[in-house]
Amino acid sequence: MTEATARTTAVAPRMFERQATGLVRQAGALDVLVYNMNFVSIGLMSVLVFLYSTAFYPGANLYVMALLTFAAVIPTSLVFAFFAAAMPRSGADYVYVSRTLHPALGMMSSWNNTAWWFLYGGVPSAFFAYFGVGPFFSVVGERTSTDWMVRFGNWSQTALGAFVVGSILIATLVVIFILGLRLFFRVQNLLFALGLVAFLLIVFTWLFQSTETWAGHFTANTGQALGGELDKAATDAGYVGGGPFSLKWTFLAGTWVYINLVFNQSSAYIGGEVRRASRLQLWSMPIAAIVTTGALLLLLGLADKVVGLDTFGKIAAATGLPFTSVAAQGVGSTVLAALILALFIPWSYTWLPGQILNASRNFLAYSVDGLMPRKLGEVNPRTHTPIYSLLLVGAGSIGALWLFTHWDAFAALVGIFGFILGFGIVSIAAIAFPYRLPEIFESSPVRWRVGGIPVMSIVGGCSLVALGCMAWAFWTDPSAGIDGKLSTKILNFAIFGSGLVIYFVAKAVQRSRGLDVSQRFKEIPVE
Amino acid sequence: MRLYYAGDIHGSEKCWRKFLNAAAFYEANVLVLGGDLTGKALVPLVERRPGEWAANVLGRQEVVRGEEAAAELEQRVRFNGFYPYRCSQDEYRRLEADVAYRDDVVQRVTRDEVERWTALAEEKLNQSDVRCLVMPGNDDEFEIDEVLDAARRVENPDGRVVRVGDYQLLSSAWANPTPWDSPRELPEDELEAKLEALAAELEPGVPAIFNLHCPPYDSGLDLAAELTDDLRVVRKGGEPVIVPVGSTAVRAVIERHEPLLGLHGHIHESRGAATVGRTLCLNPGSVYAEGVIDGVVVDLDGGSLIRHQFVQG
Repeated sequence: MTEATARTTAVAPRMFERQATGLVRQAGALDVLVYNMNFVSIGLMSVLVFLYSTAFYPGANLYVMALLTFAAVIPTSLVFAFFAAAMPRSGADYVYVSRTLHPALGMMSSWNNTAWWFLYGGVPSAFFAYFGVGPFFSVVGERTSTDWMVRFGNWSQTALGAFVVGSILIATLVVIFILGLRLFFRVQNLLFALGLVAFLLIVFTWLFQSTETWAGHFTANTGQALGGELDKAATDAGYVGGGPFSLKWTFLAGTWVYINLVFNQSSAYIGGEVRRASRLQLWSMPIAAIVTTGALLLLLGLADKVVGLDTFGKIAAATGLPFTSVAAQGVGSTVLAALILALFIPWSYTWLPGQILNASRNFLAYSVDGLMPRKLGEVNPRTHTPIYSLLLVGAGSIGALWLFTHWDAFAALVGIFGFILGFGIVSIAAIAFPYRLPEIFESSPVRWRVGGIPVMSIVGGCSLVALGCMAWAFWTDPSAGIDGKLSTKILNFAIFGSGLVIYFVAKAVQRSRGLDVSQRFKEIPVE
Repeated sequence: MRLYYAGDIHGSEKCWRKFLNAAAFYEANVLVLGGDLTGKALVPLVERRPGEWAANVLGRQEVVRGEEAAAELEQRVRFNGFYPYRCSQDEYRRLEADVAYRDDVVQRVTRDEVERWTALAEEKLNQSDVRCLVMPGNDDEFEIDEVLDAARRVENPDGRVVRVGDYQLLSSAWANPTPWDSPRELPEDELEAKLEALAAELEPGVPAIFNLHCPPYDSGLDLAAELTDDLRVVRKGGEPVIVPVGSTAVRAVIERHEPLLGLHGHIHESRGAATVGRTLCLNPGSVYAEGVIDGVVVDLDGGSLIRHQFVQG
């Protein structure tokens, strides 16, 4: 048998490119990292962890929680990283699953994501009101004795107020997207930087603040006494934190981290044409997870030092204050408090723009493939944007916002179980990829093997196990909105299966028009 | 008449083989390949010692030993649309240092590969009555034209108006200027004049199909990432900035002559259908690097366009 090895050589020949279109330089490492970190959203992750993980998970150790969740995310992150290296182009799971397993399964996986992006449009737009606009106006109004600000801030945090404020945000984003992405991108970088400044202000405040100073300001500014009074209010509000260490509750508390961290693979959606660039994807996704987990651990450590995580949980349960408000009310300077809360507003909804964009892009792709009405694929010749897809996603997001603010069963975590089902299909595709598409695998930069088994298959297997653990967590966590609620269980599985239904309905409709959708995906024989 | 159109296969032999088989697969009478046949890079397999070869494959240094392993490596290089080239260490050093020599080698290898492809077409299509029209694109060197012209089972329609059934096909490989300064580019005014001269050959009353490699400007079929002067993708907020990069000349000519159908490629990531004036324009896109050929099947009858369907074979 002929010997073949692949190892690094001391003298390295290079390839010679012609003057041909499309040979662009790879995205900068920082670009890809920032893209993934944008989707993870350190700000929202911190809000959710401090608001829920500290309060409602008895015996949870939040440091262990962050590390366990990180460990659960990494295999799935690597699945996307391996696929992005082997098939580096836009489309992510739709392309991976369609090509590796079956187009109908690709549609199922992709539609599952699209539907949840669509539905989740309601969640961050409500967060914008609950964690961004509302706290800013309430706190600054209280600190400056400005009644209208207090009233508006409090109203923003009611169901109706959040619906109105969130709808305005959705409508504004849809209009901006329709007018063209340039305007949005110009604004987004600035907003991301502002959010980062708010985060750093909190970090530096806590770094140099003592518990006594914080407690003095907090009590003075909020009128909320700490100690026995807080303990009672927290217990009445359902606080169950503290107590001896529990691995189960530590793991369950990580659902609030996972909802953010698992989206560290978003750069899989922006692959390039020439695969020499693709190794960047391999490390950028895990690094994004490492950086954001590190930021969370830093914040937890500082909060523990200044406030105490138990106290944080009690404040969260008793008052519902996001960590930004706890930090802002713990400083003496009203200007600093206002700055923290105002600058954090852009980070209160960071999932939303990506969700709207990704969902509308998918609708456009389905339309071109004949799986959705042709109208959704129309791109406005003046603005170059898919107006009808964007309007559809915008309207759906406003509908979802109404559900989220008015229907208790629609909890923030309710759809992550559905996402996990979709990631499961992608992981199965990763296991099968080296065997189903050997040519692409062998020609890719990730054709590594351990003991003859493709590393990609091993990573896919590990991801399935990790996803199984997280599926159990979301199924079991009382805060996830699935445990004991038949309606949300049905919703998750119905959305998961609906992609298959859409595929076969579209196939039947197109057949009546003389088109065969299944032919769209059939591979032409090579020989 | 059923027409299958694809483009931008950029040296992928798997895609070429699929293109040739597409007629039987989709029951098409006419095959049209709308340009950019040839690979984008030469990958030297440098013989470091007898029977041992080193190469840079997708940014990774690889060393293989033995003929079988070298052939397997060549196959992987071809799969990605690149051309493998075996050479000694001395020749490799010359390839690095002597640009003129390197260009000669690239052109020779490219020409040889296209010759091999046309021979393959003859072998596969010899027994059928399918018309196979293959033209170069802006990325293809001029050396391949004579290979295509000389091929027995492939017609090169570039720069001509040819009759295809009850229709006439006007074809042009040329594009407006790109950042890469590829072989077949013209300023917009010259490109428009060239296309107008070609349109003057159109026969009145016969429905026309324009097979223009470059898509019309601002049609939605020409959206690509904006690039910096050093060919980096412009990103804002982490996302690539997307801009129209098609040809205003192509758009003007289509709007002026209102052909029945426009077939385009060039912008791989801009797959879709758009109406320019009264003309339906199609760009099936390209994912050649995965060994998959993006195409579109078009049914025409009685001088009308009946339906079209994008396919990924």
